[in-house]
Amino acid sequence: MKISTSWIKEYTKIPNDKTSLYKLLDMFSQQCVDIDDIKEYGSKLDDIKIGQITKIEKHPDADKLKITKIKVSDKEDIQIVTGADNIYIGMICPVIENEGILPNGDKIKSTKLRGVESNGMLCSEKELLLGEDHTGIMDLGQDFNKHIGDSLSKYFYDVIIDIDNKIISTRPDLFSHRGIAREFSAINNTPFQDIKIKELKNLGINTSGKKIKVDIKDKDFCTRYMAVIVKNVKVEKSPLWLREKLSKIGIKSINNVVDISNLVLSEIGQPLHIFDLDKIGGEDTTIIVRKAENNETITTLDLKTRNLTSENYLIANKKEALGIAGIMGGKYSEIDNNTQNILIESATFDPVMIRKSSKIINLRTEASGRYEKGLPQQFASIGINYAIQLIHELASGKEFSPITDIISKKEILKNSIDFEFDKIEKVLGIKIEKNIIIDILEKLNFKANINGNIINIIIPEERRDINESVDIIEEIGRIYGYHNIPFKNPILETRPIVKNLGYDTKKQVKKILVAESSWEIKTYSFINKSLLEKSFLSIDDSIKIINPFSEEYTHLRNTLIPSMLLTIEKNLKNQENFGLFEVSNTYIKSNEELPIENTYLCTSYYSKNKNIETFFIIKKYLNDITLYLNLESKFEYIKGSDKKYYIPNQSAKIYINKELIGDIGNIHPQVKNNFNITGNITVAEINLDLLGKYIKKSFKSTPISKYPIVTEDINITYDKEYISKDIINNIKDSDIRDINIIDIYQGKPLKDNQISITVRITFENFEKTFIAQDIKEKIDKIKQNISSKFKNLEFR
Amino acid sequence: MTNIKVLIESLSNKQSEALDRIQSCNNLNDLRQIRSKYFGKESEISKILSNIRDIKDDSEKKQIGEYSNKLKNILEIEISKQENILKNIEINKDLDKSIDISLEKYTNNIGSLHPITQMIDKIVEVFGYFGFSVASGPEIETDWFCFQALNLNINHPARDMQDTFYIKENHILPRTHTSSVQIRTMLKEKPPIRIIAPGRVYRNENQDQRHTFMFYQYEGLVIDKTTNISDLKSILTTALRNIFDNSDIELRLRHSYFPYTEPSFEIDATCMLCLGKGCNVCSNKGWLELLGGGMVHPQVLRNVDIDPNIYQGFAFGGGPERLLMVKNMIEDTRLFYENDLKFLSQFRKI
Repeated sequence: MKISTSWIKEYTKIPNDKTSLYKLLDMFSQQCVDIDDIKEYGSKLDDIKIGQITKIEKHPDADKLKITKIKVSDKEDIQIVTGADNIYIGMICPVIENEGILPNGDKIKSTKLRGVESNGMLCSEKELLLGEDHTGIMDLGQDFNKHIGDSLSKYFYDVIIDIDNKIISTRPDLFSHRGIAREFSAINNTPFQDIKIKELKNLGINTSGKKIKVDIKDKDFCTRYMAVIVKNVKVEKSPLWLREKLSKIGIKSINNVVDISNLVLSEIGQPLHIFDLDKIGGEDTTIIVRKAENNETITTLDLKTRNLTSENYLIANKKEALGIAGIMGGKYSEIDNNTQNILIESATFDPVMIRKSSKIINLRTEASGRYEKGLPQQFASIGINYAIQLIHELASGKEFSPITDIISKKEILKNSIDFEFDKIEKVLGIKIEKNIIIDILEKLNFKANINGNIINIIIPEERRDINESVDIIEEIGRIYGYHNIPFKNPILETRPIVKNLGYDTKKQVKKILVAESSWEIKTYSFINKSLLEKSFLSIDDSIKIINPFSEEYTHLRNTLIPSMLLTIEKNLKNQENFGLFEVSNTYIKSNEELPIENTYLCTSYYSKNKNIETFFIIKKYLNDITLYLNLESKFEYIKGSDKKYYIPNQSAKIYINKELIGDIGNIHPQVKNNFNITGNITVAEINLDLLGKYIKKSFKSTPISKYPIVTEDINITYDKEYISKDIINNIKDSDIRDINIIDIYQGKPLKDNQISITVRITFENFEKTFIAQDIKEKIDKIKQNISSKFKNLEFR
Repeated sequence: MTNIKVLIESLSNKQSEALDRIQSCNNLNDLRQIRSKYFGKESEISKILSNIRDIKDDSEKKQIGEYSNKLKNILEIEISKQENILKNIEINKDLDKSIDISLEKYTNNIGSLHPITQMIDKIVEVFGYFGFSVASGPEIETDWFCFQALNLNINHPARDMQDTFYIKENHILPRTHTSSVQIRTMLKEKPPIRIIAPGRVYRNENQDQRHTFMFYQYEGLVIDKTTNISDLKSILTTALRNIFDNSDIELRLRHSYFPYTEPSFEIDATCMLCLGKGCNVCSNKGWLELLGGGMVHPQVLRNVDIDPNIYQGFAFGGGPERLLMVKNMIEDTRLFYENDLKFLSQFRKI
């Protein structure tokens, strides 16, 4: 919302010099509401002078041109040739002389127009960036008679601030210059001079005719409706000051009547609607506030035909809809140049229903934006009285009807709050003097009384956001200034840190994978059908987002695999081989209220070189995780995962203590094709929530033998019908401490169905040092034992 | 019968032969073999000495024993002398070797934690100094946990501030902020409460340099009997000074509005790049908006059955991406989720 600082000056004193003003604006944005933008209006008018036309002659050689003499100083009048039609002798208007620069940067030079010298230019509003009007020369009016020769910037310069509406969504009183001015008065600690609105009787006008009849059908929606008829108004161009006031805050001037409603809106914050009385049925008509019928239509002021629903509310007469209540008026009943009699509406509508109504037809306006915040009923009466005064002053309004005022539902207002004075210090952390507190609150239109340790506060009608003590404490805190609250060492009760198993597990797993040269990635939790299908997965298992923002992200993922493959695809043109991992949640459909969320680890290794057995790299990572996390037992791998993106015979289910916790496998060649990946990829997915259960909480260290350990390697060649795990499980001896496969070999001179492994066995005994003979005997026994269980074993 | 003279002579022959060999030996392996050749069970000297049992005369036995011991000693000394010489030669050989230290052979890279993970770990560590524990909650939430309990009723105008994705209309949603974890924690634990809750959040917004529909937040909450705005200021100032490793950072609280805190503020920190003088990064303001926060609204406490007349405290929230963008001068927040290794590899340590 745009606020003119010179308008604020009508209410309270703010600095004129730029430095002090900008400093105040900075405080304002800290203590009231953020300023999105500050713009200077009329800032490049230094070369524009106020001049008066003293003579107009016809151009001898051009019908459309006139030769004028302009008085801008005591010196000789200057001669300017112009094509404008609206000039007259005595007119006071903006003039730019030879060598002067226009706000748009153009330099004016003396020239000859059809042989007649012209030493400057008379300017339109648009040329000076002071308005939209470019049809004629700007007429400053006789009020500027005393200022001839002055620079225009002296009278038109303003600093316009654009404030962030979001933060004040609970402060309807701030959607107006009057409300913002009160804040300035509190922040700058300057007196506040409220607007004085004269009611009809104080204007010296007796009402005539009868009140307009109003029938409110929905009393929850329209809580107050005020209206007045004004006859014989004169619709014309607004005076310069009004046009300027609106232009500065970005509102286009239409005519005096429409401009008045916009002025009231910007100054008081109360939306008005003004109808052409004769177009809506004259003074005998009945205004009806009602719900719209489904599919009822109305053409609004912006010339769009709106299709309505029963969530919309209308201002209507018995025959037809006149406007969408609180949002926008109808085109048919608008004010035009022939309008003579008008009806001014100033009403209060329910914020939630306005919000719904505006949302459903996707039409937000200055009016609806304010109604949505919940305007106080009081504003309706301030608004209509201000409008009456302005119509009287600016549109020759003399014949006013009595005001219709229906309050169909009284607003429930909290009038006062009591609380313990100490609480202010308890929340803010600083002791503030009583008189300062009272002063701050009074500047904000509260009344405060301190009685012993109780502070009593009377809440002004417009402050509907104040409900309890902290709301008042916030008012005190922000105006006192949070920068005045000191930095103190906090007093905190000591307490042990509560361990978070999930966070700790994730942290450990990530650490070990980084040490394995893997890179952590973070991919979006949302995926789409095509990505799933490329991974041989079905969208049916994923949870749908009702309102996705793009086709690319339509479902919650239940596996990290597709995003992992996509990330590999993205990176493989830059890297020969790499390991990636992600730790993130998956979301699975459930019969409970919320989906099931599990934290998964997805770890992958890609190698362009097909000779690198990525499967065993990932398996190493997983085994290292079991060691690093100090899990209760090792992982067990059962051949054949049921996940379709794996090659069945190159995949496994992963168990720990008989519980299935994940899968590992080489990616299916067709899936690789789908992701344009050539080379080897192995991906494993592990449920970390389940894994976390198997981290040893505590353990006892075991004694170590003082005798040296002995390692012995045996090489076993076996037929592929067997698996290494079964062979190794049969390597038994009471002194074995550890068994590891340290080498795998396939190929010549072995037969095709043979594989050879080197197994390193570590022996340890607590009572003696082994001699060569002991080990030889053990190894012979081991060989004998496994040879008896597996056919065609060979040892080398 | 064995002649002592013959024995001594053959030993004496062995001695000169052995000495020759020892002195001419030029590597430690050979020297070891020489030792076993002359001293081992099967050695020539042992063979000669095995004949001693044939000698009957004790004095002769003694004589030959003494002779052989002398011989052994001489050879031992000579071997260890030669051993020393050879070892020294090897040491000198090693010392003489030079390497091209500019070469690299084992270039196996270490990986890296995602920068967001590193920033979250840092935040958790720093708030840990003040006794904050890590808390977490589900990413998919009910409307009650994400909004209503936080004083954001269905018709609250501030709901416009957060564009929400829905799984079930107006009911189940990917959380729009980590503030839902406040509610879950307060329902579970009794004050004093001090938590820090990092996690993913989702907003239905258009993607651009500064927005992604998914991002991270960290939420802090303190509930006890005394914690006030002054405490908030000092804890957050210290925390941010730690996170940015810069003790010149000051905080500025700007009045703002959140339904779940009252008073509420935007929390700005001194721009650490220009130290408040004004630069491109802070749009010449000298301040950077890093967090939002305030004193927990009494209605929120009532919603979780904590008595606001006894307990109070503050809550705050911010984005790790924002901290990283400032700390590491990252211009586009989407880079965090593009996972290009050329980007990630710059962040081995933030």
